[in-house]
Amino acid sequence: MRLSTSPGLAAALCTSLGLAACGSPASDDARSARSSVLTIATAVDADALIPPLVTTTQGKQAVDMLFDVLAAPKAPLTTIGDGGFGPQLATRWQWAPDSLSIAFSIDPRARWHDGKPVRASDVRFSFALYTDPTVASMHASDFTGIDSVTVRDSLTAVVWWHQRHPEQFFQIAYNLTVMPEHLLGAVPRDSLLQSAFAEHPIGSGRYRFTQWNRQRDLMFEADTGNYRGAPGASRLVWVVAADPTAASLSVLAGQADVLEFLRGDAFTKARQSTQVHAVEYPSLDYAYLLFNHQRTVGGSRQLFADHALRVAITEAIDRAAVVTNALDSLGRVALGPFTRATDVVDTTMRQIAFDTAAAARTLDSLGWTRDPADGLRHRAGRTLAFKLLLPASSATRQRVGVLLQSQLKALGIGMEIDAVESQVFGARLAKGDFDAALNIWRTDPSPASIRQVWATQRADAVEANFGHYSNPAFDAAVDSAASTFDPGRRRALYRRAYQSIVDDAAAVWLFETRNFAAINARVSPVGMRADAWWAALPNWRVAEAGTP
Amino acid sequence: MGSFLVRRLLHTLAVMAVAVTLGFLLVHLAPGDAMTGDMTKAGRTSDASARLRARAGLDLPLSTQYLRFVRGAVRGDLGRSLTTEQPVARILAAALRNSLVLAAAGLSAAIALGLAIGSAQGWYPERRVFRWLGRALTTLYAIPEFVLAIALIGALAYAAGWFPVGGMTDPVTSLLGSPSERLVDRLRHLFLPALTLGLGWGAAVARQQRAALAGAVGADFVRTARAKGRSDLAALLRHALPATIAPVIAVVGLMIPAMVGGAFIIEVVFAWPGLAVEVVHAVAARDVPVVSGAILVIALLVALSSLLVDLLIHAADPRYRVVPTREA
Repeated sequence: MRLSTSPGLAAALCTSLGLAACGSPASDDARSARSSVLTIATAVDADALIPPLVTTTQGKQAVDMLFDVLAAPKAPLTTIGDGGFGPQLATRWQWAPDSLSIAFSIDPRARWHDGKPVRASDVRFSFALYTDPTVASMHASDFTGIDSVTVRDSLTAVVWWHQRHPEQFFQIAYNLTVMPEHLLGAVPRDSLLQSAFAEHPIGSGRYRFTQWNRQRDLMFEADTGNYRGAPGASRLVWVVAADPTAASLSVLAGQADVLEFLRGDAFTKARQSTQVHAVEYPSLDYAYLLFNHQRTVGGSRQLFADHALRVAITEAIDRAAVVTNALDSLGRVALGPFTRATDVVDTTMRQIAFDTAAAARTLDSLGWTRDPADGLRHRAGRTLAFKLLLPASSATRQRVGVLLQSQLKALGIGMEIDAVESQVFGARLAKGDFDAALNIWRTDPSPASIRQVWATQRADAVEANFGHYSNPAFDAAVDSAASTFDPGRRRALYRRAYQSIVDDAAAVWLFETRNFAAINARVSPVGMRADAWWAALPNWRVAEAGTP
Repeated sequence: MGSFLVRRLLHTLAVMAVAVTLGFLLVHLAPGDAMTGDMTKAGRTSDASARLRARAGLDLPLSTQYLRFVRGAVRGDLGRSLTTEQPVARILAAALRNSLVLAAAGLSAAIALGLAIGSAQGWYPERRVFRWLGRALTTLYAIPEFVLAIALIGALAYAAGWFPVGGMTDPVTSLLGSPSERLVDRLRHLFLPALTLGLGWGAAVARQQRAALAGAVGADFVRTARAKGRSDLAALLRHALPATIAPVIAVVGLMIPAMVGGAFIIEVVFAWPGLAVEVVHAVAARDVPVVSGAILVIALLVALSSLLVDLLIHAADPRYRVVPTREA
């Protein structure tokens, strides 16, 4: 008997293989357009394309391509004075004799993507938008200390400060993205995201908006007539993958060109691949075991307010082993609440060394004695044990948590891992609802931003000092460093501040990540900065298909 | 029939009300909210966060928020997303369209695969190849869908490079390609998720079809058809298959509501921009209006498809139409 159903099966297979054989379908136009497209794989979509409302890295990448700032930071980024900046929207700038204002001359060639010229009034408008309480921008605090922006003439915007400080230029040039007043001026400030502009933004950058399918893809095309020159790639496309693993697969399979972070198995595969390069760039992320200094833990009031105990816990942890086991070559032992990419860092700073004998002696001297029955330390009927809050979504932090648990247990310190969903993690950190937490923080390029996380809390400040840490010596050193104009003294004062917080064992400084991007071999990246690897993306060269 | 319909409609409304209320409460009871929970919002002052919460109505009592949502939903206004400020109805309509495309493709694949293999098994019970195919399909049925999806991505997308790793379209092709290129591109993106769904559900169809057809192989009407000179294939397609398809239709009917919710994991694994992806993002962002709206839409779809199946069975099987009489 013949197989009467086999033709159907064969047809189905042929259809599917036929689809596959079509490969990347492309007409001449599409093929030509595709040849210099730069595709960025990401697991997270941009959240907004109006600069003051952007809160995610992906949104920042996008708006940095669409819009301009007054002056462009050079790599490596320095935040003091204006020496580390080159012209962007402003061709030149002039400081007032008292340094309380800077006049920026707007490039007369600059045009919005709708053809209208960029004017000084756009700078004034953008400042007003960022700082308007109705907008509730999370970037509003970046402009603290700036009094106003005025317009001297149509191409000269003057920024005024209440008082001079070393990072004045950085503050305005780095943080103020200039937006078009003629398109946004009439939009109610409390509903910017509902405007047509939010769906189809118009900027002055080297890429112009093409389309945005939320949670799917975002596409820009080159502004070939841009006053700063045409960019290298004809199009930029962000493609949203299901998760980081899927995003890395799409780059390894050649379906995307760039992935900003390689992790785990994908890193190994990229290193072995001839099609994809693993390109390292500096990192501003550091991870730490954060103590809640105000918490009553295991019945002991403000347990972690005890400096000797914090030092003992730090001594009990072999950070090098933690980094090797959890991150292999994708991390380094952290030196403090900063990374090696910070411009004022001193890598020779004194550290609290791994020393289990010293840790045991300290704990004994504090009255925490070990009970052979359970192996844990007790004092006055209380057990030395705490919970470590961490986000369940982070495999790295889960691994680190287990390693810490094991190392602390060897010293008689109980630690229970409290893994929660990332939103819950954020909410509990913000509320101070934790004993200790395994947190990762991305620092701002300005070393002064360390105050946001580690300075004594102020009611009017942006709050990220989740552990309620307070160290007046540290506060004073950072305040002095942030206000000095002498680079040598600035470095020395920051060193003093860093040493103070490290000696105080404010947290256990665990690791800083080493960032490796996966980049297709046909792409030649340049200028990957620690704070924004994408900053020079318009200058990346993309070889056309078939070109070596 | 009329009273049955009224009863089922009331039942449908009750199910939807319970689902929506529970969903609304659970999202609100979870720690954090759209303005404060995410670590990326840590740069906001407490004043700014409070202003945003007030603007979104998150500072109102829960009962007030719930009543607002219900009143809006009754009018067809599901509110705006707390994160993107887009109308929820617009977000969900786009996502639902994509979900239905995938569900339809998955169902078609399941029916095609299941009918082909089940019929072959039932018609040619002695053929080893079909027995093995049936076992293979049953084995695939036993594998969790997300595992199957990851295996297919690894084999056909990453290793072979035949299909995209995920997504629904290639953005450049969808913008610049000709209509035929765009169609092929869409089919390439649809193939793996639809195949994953089809392999899983196809096994259920195949088993039903094999059992039904096995009983018909030796039936008089089939023997008569063959005696009249019909080919083997014609006897199968024109006589045996129509007579045995009813149970399969019932199975497929029962699959539809399952498919509406069951494709969730597949959508997420393949980054298919359907309801699942929207819900996952909305839950993570505590975007209450989107989550509540999605629950409402899903509950409505499941309830309506269940109702449809009940009506079909009610219409098809006379035993359901017998009015029970009270015995004296």
